[in-house]
Amino acid sequence: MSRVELLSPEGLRVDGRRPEELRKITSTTAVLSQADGSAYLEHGNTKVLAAVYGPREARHRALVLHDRAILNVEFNVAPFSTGERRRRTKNDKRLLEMASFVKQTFEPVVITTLYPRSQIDIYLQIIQHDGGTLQACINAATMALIDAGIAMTDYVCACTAGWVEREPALDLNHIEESSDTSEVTIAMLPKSGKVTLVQMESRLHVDKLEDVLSLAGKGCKHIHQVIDKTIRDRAEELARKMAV
Amino acid sequence: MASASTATPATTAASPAFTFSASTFQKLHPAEYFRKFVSQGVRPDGRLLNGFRPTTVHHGVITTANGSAMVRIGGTTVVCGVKAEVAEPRLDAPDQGYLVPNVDLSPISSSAFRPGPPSEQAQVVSEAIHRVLKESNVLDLKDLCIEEGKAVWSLWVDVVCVSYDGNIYDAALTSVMAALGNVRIRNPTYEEGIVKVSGAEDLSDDNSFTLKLARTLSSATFALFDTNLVALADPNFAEESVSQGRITITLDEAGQICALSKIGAGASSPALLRQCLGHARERAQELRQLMKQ
Amino acid sequence: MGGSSVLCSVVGPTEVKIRDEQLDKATVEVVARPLVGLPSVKDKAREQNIRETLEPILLSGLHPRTLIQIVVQTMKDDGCILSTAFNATILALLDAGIPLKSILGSVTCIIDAQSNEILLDPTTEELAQAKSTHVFVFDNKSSIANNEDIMDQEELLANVLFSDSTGSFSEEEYFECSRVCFKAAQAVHGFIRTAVEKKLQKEYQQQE
Repeated sequence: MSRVELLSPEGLRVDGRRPEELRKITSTTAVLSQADGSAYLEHGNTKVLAAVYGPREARHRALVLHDRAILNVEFNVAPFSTGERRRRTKNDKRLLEMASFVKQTFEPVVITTLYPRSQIDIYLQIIQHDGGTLQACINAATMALIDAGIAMTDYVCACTAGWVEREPALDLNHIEESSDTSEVTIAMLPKSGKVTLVQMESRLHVDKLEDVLSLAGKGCKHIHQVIDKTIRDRAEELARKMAV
Repeated sequence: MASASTATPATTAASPAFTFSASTFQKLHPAEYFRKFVSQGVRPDGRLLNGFRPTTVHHGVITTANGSAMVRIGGTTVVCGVKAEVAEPRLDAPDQGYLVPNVDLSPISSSAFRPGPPSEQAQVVSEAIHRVLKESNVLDLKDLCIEEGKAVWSLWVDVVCVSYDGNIYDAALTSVMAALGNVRIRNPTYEEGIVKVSGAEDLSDDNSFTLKLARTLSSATFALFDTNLVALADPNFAEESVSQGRITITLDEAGQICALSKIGAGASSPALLRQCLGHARERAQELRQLMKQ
Repeated sequence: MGGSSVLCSVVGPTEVKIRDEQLDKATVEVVARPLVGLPSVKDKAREQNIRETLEPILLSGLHPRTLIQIVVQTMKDDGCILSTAFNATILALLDAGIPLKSILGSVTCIIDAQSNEILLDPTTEELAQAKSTHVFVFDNKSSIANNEDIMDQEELLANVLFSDSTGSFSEEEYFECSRVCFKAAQAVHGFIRTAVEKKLQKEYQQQE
């Protein structure tokens, strides 16, 4: 297979973005009537739906923790979401791994001690996939948790950055992801600047890591603004409705 | 509120010591709460007995799929995506492709669904849709043939329920029909055992084809009760859980019935069936308008 | 029924899993097994059809917090498996002595694609030729009344317990099928009656 030219001579990427440019993000909360909290996030062509149920009675009594809530994250990939149709089973290792990433990301942020002996379910549904699923899922889950009114110490914003050919690039899409570029996803708490998740699977030179991380950090800050605006708009709208 | 005025007097009359708020009454005696409404000719969400919930259809929402649609019926939202894949035909039908519908009721859509293998309900709805598509010959499977005996298209029709509030069959069937309506598949070329599908240029009429659907199906579902045999159109989740049976009628655009099923809830008279058929015809008209692009 | 046969066993009222326990009535569980291979989605659909049709007929309030398990095993398949399964189930329930509100009888018919005629109890070959297929279940409440009444009231009394039709057909064709099947269901009821009578007679003789 011939290698795709990921960076044009003018320094633009395959989809015409500059290296440090994010894709368009649109998001809404409270999209589902059945869930306690929900959010829909479009990150470029990646579309993710998150729903939060709970805190509710734990499904398995054996799992109950008497001093805090347990977090349960489930992934579901719509069969038509990817370029090639693949039947993903529930036990798909890749999905389980993703779920555990999300779970570990949120465990220190959600104040679980406020909800002892209960369970909080975070369900993530990928409707369309175009790279950066993990970051989109974490961002959507943050919004859904806020929408459900679950206490958290801060937002969690996730962003992906990678090293594309000769320079660091923010927010890789599916083409860039699949053609042998190193990719780092970080999740951070924007207020304190603490990082709760760093995930990288491919090779990246140590000297370049610093650049990529700082770029991803910048991306997180930007995503925080976008998410925060959606949440605030929603809160204002609710406040207006309650005043009437 | 209307609910308080209809519900409370009856309970107080029975036992003056207890008075509940309407919402408590609903939780304690969902069936009784419901019966009080229906006896007045209205339903808890304000609809009349034969009223359907507001319905919207969006076409082509998924760009990674060959055809897609999102359908909303009240609080029920489903997304349907059709993906075409090249497959080997069956030996006993070498010139026929495959059409495989599947309905996924994921736990995201309602707290009633648990993670795990597909529930009985999901399987039954999938089977019902599969059967109605097959029996009423919506799509000639010969149209999906690439090279006889060698390669055919396999259409995977996946319905993902995003939010569940009852009446999944109607929502799923509507989304399947709408998604099949905007399927576009690139023209394949068959050469010496290899199927080539060009992928570079943009889709246009020259390099792709659409599906010829023999008929457009639209359905209407009614919930039935043991006690008073009224049929409630388009039941929501709460109504479904207190009902004992249902009637589902699927019609095509010529007014022919393509599937009719009545299950549960004691015996129902032909008059009731005729009445439901009448409502189903009106509903089919309405859905066809919505499905037009 | 003809070339099809279904074996049905009823176990119950028996102990129920705590998860499935219902405080005010018995839980009904139907397990449908195909002729060969593992149960498929079709069998799931059949399970649901049988269970939801039987639930209102069974006086399950008499056995709260118990389980009535019905296993339906296809032995020979030559069309109309669902109807055969319904009739086998009701006989098994009668044999098990489970209290019932009424007795059901099920009949399948098709409309032939060429001749447009209604054919009762079709075989597999006939089913392949069908324009539409209809499965009906009637209870014997309406039929007893009907025997004494005049024919023109039949329309009013032919109350359907279960109906499942696929294919392409008009409203008139559907109700015509319903009428034909209703008449045929009388024969099924008669058969069930004689079957039970014979069995009781035999048991009575054995006791003596």
